[in-house]
Amino acid sequence: MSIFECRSLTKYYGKTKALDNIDLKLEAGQIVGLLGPNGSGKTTMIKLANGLLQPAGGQILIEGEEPGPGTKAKVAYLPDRGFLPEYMTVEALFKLYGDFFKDFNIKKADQMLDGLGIKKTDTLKKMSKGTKEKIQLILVMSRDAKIYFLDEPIAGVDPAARDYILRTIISNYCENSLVLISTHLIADVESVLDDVVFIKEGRVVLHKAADIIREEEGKNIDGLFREVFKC
Amino acid sequence: MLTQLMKYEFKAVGRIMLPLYGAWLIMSILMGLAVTILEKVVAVGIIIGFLYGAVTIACVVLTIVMVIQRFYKNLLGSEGYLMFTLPVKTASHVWNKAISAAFWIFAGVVMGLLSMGIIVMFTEGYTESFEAIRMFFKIVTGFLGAPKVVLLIVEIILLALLMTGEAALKIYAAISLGHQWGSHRILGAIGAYLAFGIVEVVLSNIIFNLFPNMEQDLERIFESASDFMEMQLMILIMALIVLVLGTVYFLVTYKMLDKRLNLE
Repeated sequence: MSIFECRSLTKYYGKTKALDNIDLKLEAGQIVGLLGPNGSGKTTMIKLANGLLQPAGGQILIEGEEPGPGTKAKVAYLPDRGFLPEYMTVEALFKLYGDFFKDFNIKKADQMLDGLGIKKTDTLKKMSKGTKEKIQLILVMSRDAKIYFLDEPIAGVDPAARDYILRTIISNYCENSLVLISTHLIADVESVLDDVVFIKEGRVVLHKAADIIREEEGKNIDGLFREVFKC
Repeated sequence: MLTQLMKYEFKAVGRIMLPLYGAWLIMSILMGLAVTILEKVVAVGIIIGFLYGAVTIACVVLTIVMVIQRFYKNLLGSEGYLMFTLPVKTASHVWNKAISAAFWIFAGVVMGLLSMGIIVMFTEGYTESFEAIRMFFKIVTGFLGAPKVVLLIVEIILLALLMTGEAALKIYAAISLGHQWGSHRILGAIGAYLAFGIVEVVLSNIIFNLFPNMEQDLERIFESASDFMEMQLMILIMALIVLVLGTVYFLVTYKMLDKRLNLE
């Protein structure tokens, strides 16, 4: 059984088809890039996996189970937007994650926070956009989850913050878990990816190991992306 | 997990409402002073009266805003990305919001009574006012006996809590239905709320038509019963109606959030 599986997954927004009959299996123990241009269906797929949307057809399965309280307990999700209550302090957010997620590792969270110069008693409201994104990432990566869905984790932050985010992801995910990173900024994440999924207009157009792509195509993933998604 | 949800819900609402309640109590004391000791300083009295009115209105308005906003923003806004990815059953989310709404509306009413009590305590005739209330209870207790009075008070409080919970669930059902209507969510929610009202009226008319003798039957039962039993029956009937409506609105909200959730 794959840790993550889509079976004929279809989703409409009104009459627009956002996901078109997607079949996809991903295995644990790797970092997978879900790559595609804006509007290709990346966020839709991740939201379906988290039960924030309901599919029009097909199934999406986490360790064979449809999204529900059971899967949410083992899935760590970083949405593509601010999703935390602004009035809460870092301390209160750590407490909240600890109260709801049994796999939340507060020691890990404290370690990641160290050296960032953020006071635990500060509320999110006081923080810059980049700092807020770091806090969100810390909360998500401090969980010892089975799957990490990271939706555009490096969009909209400066290159230094990008490095911090990627470093945090690589050094904190559980080895036998699956990390799915959705992004259109290929060059920045290319070096960390084990496996690559290209998604175009709601369909999976390519699913291969990163090394094999480089070997077979004779070019890096960024180059292949530019070719496949040429405007 | 429901208790955890309730803990965070209480903190989220309490951080707004508790300071406001504090201000309300302080203004009540000042108001009490204004109508007694400061009676002759008219200008101060007017300012205090105005502030007291403002705090009172703020409490009422914010209670209603909180009931709506804590559902709309916390579950269906961007915070919904957090709430709906917690390992919690959808039904717990609905329970949490309904219980919280009933609690804060009830707390608001208690605070209102307390505020009035404080102001009355400052007036000269306060002993008479409290004496009047005491006498009222004495007569009622003499009439029914203390255990029955206590029972009635408990029943009325429970009924009030049920009714506020149902009123909140009706709003939540309307918001969740309106949410299905993509670009006109607020309009959809208002439309759904009005539609619920119409359906309630139509259904009650149909029921009355199906049982044309119901009114006379009830009257006959009431006449043959003692006053206490009559009150018991009235409370029971109201509780049943509220329970049925509350269950329907709960299920509508639950189904919409569980099966048709569509966060932007």
